Amino acid sequence: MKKCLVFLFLLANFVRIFAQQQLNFQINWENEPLILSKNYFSNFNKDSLKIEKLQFYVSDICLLKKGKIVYKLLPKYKLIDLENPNSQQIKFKTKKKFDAVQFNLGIDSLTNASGAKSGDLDPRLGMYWAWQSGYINLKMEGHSPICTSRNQFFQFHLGGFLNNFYAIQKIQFTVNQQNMNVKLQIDKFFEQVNLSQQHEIMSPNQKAVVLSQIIANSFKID
Amino acid sequence: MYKTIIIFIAVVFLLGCVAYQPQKLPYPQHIPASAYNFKENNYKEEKINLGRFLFYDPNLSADGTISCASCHSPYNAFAHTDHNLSHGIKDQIGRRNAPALFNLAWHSSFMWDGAIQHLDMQALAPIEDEREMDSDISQVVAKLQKSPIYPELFRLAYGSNEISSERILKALAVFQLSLTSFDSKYDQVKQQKAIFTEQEEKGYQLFLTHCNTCHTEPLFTNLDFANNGLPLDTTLRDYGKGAITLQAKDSFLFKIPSLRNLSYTYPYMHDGRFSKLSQVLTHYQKGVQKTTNLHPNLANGLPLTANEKVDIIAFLLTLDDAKFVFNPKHQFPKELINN
Repeated sequence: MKKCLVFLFLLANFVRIFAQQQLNFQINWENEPLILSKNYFSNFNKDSLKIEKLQFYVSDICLLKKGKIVYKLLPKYKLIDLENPNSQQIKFKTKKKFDAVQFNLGIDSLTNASGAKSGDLDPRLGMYWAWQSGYINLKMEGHSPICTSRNQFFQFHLGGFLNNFYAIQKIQFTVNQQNMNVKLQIDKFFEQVNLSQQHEIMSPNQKAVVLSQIIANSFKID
Repeated sequence: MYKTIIIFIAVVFLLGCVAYQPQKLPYPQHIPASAYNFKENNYKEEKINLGRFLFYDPNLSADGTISCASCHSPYNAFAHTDHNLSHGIKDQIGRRNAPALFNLAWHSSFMWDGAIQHLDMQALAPIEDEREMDSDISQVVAKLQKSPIYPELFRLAYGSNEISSERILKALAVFQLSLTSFDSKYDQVKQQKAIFTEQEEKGYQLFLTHCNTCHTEPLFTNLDFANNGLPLDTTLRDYGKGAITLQAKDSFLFKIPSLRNLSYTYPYMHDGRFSKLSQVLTHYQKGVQKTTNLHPNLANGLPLTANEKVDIIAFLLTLDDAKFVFNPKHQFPKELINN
């Protein structure tokens, strides 16, 4: 009996040490996974819309215990892509206990100003402004009949790392489990953005900062 | 016996230490320390050579007609002469005069409006601009991967023949960093290898009084931005840095260019509106338009007589660096002809 208990104890520890933990980033529309190019109805805009591209950077993901960082997840920069489910999972392994998770939506100013990079920061991925320095933190494109733009196209390229237009957003959630599902409720964004007035942002400016805050507030965890 | 072996190993080790000196960007003693972070992108002969091939290769453009050198010619100190506004793919006219490229290791912002914050990333702008090369870095990577010459050049530069955007951008940066121009008559005077003529010396003193605040020696730029009182060209409506930062205080601010190699880099100003140095000095003497953020030194124009303007120009010509302009190491790699 004693041997058996010892074995169970060791097994439990073994599972705890070697079990892969996972942080998932899901993109939802009203609590269901968002489907690319599917028509959704926005109550606030009183019209339909479809999202044809949604990519965003998360960076410096870390776990906290009583406000102190106890573990940093890798990679340091992760491009989450609606079209690539693999990009939406981050696996990690730690014995450390934690009560909160924190990450940045976007790329910090130091990284923005420190030269050519590879991996998820490769400028080939289309998340870098060529005509001026800087990563695009979030790119969302699609169509809605309410947009007055050519072909009713909307495009939100949110970024900026200089002075007044620093668009990066720090997001923190308390957690009580090993596996975490962070959800971007994209329907919440369209409850606050009037597509007939605002459908194009393609450079760092005040609107990009405001919309980045709206995106940041559209995250939740469970 | 053991002693001999140990001594032998020690000698080999020490010789190895002496022989292994990482390469460094060379520049003379009267020049301040450079700003570029070489720890992230080491300075290496083979990488400079790769960057030189890329710089002169028209395959960086969508239709294989435009290279970096199309607008940054070595014989013009890597500027674009003859045209006030530079032109790119399919003879499209751009918005500005392509600036000269030299001593870039001392700069930490780029373009006339400071839109670019790091030299590595600068090349993306002309590669993607539809009036310049109208391509993108993915296309460039794909083209180079099919090339018969590049895999070997990448291997020599980086140790493996992988071709990536990071490697392309860093090699282009290092080639441009290697373009240092510190061998003008002025530099020789500073190193006591030459002396100014009487007129050049007079011009130098006038320069120190009137111009050195912004065009600070020995780089002949303080690397900052300023409104130098040029009236707005209403056909271009170019607000410079203001269009990037969206701040009123930055309207009409443009990067202060170096005054080295002026004989090779005409026309002058961001829109190439002046073709002669005398026109530039006449602007500073009596053409300055007053606006709220005009550089304070220009508030009343520069009080220069006709003779003083001639003296200043005599001094400015001592900043020409023919050895830099005609340096064969910076020029077109002939191996590209049949590529």
